Amino acid sequence: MRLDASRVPTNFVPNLPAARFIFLTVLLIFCALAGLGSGGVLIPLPDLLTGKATYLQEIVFLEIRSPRVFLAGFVGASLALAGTVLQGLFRNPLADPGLIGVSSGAAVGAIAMIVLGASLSIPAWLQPYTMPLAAITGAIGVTLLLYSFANYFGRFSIVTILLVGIAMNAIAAVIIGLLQYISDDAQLRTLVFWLMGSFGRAQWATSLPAVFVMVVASIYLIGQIRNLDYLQLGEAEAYFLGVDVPRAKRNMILWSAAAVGAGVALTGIIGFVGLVVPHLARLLLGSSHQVTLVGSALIGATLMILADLVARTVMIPEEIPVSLVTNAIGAPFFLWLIARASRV
Amino acid sequence: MSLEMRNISYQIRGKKLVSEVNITVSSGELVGLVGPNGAGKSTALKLMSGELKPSFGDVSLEGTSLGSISPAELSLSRSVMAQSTNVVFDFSVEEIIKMGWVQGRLVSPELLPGAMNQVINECGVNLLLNRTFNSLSGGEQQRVQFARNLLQLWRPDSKRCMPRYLLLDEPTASLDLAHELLLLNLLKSAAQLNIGVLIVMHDLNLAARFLDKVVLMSQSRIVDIGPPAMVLTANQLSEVYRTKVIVEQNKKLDRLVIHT
Amino acid sequence: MRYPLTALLLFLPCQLFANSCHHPAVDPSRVAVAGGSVTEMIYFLGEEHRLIAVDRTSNYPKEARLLPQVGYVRALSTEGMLSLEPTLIMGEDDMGPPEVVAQLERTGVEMVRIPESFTPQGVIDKLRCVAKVLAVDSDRVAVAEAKLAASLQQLEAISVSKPKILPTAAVILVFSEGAPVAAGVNTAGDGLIRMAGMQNALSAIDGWKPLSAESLIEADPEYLILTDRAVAAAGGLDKVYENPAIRLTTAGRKKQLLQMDGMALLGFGPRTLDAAAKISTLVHK
Repeated sequence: MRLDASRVPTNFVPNLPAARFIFLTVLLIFCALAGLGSGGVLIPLPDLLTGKATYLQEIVFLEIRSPRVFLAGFVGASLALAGTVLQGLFRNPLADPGLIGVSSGAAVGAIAMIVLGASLSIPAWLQPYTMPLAAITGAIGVTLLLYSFANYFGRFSIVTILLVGIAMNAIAAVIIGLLQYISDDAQLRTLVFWLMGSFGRAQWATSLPAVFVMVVASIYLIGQIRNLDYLQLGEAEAYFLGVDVPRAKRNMILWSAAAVGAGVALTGIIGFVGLVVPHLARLLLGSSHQVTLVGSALIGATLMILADLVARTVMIPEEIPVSLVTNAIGAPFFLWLIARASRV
Repeated sequence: MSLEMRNISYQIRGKKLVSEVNITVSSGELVGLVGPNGAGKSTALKLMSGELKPSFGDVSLEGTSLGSISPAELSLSRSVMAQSTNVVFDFSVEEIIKMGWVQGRLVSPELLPGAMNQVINECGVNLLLNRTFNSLSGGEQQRVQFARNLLQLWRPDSKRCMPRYLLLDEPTASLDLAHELLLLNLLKSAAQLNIGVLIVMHDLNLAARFLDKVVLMSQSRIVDIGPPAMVLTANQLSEVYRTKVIVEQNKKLDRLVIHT
Repeated sequence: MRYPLTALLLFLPCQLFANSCHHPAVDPSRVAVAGGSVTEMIYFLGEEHRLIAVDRTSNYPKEARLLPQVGYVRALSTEGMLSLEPTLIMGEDDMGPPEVVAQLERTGVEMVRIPESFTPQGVIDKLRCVAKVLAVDSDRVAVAEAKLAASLQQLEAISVSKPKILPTAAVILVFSEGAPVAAGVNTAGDGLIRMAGMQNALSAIDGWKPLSAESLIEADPEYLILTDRAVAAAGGLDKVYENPAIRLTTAGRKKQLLQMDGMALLGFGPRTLDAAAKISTLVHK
């Protein structure tokens, strides 16, 4: 017996919004060029190519502006990608890279270095790497701790991970508070500025290794398309469809931590991007991770480059922390998202 | 060619949910798990699907213990329709069904559109395709999930390929009469395509009508296994359900009718 | 430069140190300053026409606040600085972040770090250093030094006389959540106290630290020197006297609190000598 199933011909060509991807890519390129072409020092891009640029213009472009735009793009992409992965993994639209403790771990490492590092004697060649290394040690440390605790408490369930993450963030806050307390005035100021996030410290020597880590982590995370889609049906269903769920969870968390940690180590904490960009990607491209992972990366990179551009040009010759810009854009956008969702 | 559960016990916090249970599902067979609430039917199904690990005993697929088969391999041989979870993000019905396609290694992707067409038409979900999964009613969602399960087991040469198994936990819970019958008939057709079916059912009449083998469970144990006529007797059912049950052979419909 | 690739080879990070006071700057016509006391010195020497921008700590004299702003001394912006087209950037050791300083040095803009030492001679040296870098006429330098001579003499007299028992003092910079942030050793505050012929009651502490009420009471300074900012934050001198941490010290009981502008007290610019002299007059009556 069959119900009267009208034989409507159905179209199964994957509904990849290709045109929108092209638009996003072009937008990214355009914003990157805008970022490279704008700044305190006037540098007409064609002059660089024809060799008419002055020494100052060349060095500003190659050593100051380029590493900055480069880093901003990759950090934006990594934060957005990690945010998308974590929202998919936790099946929660409010998930954010901060949940797994990476950012606060990096903050603990960096601030410890600021406050306690004065007593260490560090060779000159290592100097520019001390802060990023300290930060990334903190980031990895906290993430591994989180992973171990969650595992130890059994079942490595999403709720356990969330709760342990909250606990880790609280502990990190206590440590940071203590360090702030024992810091002197100079250290306190440096520390506060570090926390606010900035791309002003970007240089090739530290950006290239960090971006390398981010790229490797991103490649892994983008490869998780199927696992993430299957997980949306539930963990049991994902298992039934062939996903090794515990392994997938562990790897996604650790690689997200790597992607975020490498960036935070250099820039300090930049908020909202990991939370808001995945929603934007879903809005424009759909919910399947087939499109949202790459889409988030593109949108995140574009947004960060623009945010950095605003941060360094809106109050010239001063520079405002880029986190202020991302929060200023992110918060109202988030409200709009909520309004939109509740109207449906 | 079977999915077999041997001497399985499962306990949690000292309480045994399943005790010394032996169930075999062979390809081509429709096996049902029936019994009162709390008998251990769902738990038995979860042990059979690999979702739970037994405390004692072993589940094996074609002779190989489940524990030594990777999730990816397992997904090629069995599909499970369990209690549906909440899908947080907006996926279209088409995307949900498409997630069932795990056999990319075995079957050429060119066949996917045709396979999708087939299961969609069989399940009668054509008109739901472009809707968001979350906007569907409970029954509609179950039908979509079932289509996904069928897609997972779809093969171009069903009769000649390896046997597959379909495990369902109360799949008709939210379905109306017509769709309930549609689903059970589809299961019967599936059995003919070299698929073994294990289904947890609550409706004894449908059980009597459609199942090849009935596993009657009560209080974590198996009371009886066999063809419906043999297992679904008034005595046995009255004892297990603790209420007077009447079983008769209805001449006009030519089938067993069970009522209280 | 015609060879951009050579610039690319400068991938290696460098932490060059800027030159100090030995020779005049190559081109001191457009000067950006990150450091309040250096700005003060420049005005003191009458060279303020060279200034094109200052940082947030440059509040004195009032005219300095009208200049374009480069931001906070520890959070400078490379391109922001460069957009002003300075020919010379001057500051002290607290210019930062280090990466930005390194980038500015690499662009070839001349950067000079004025060394600082918390003694009367340190102030004179700073004056001479700034004068040297800006190639100020030696006559003008002499005039400036003369303005400081009176205070300098007074302070030298005190340090020579060395009374057996020095009165104790503590310097409070701000109140941080109710706790006074006070000067231990190796701070400008410590230098100020010693310059004025006193002893630092908090010599057991290193750097600027927030103190508990008990610690301050136990240190029991005879005199307390506060910045205007600290007094304003507390809500006025009366409120400060009511603060339990302060009330129970000798300084609090004898009402021996002194209040002055923070940069004047601690910048070790021209006003610091005068401040120290004034304090020592009050104390060594």
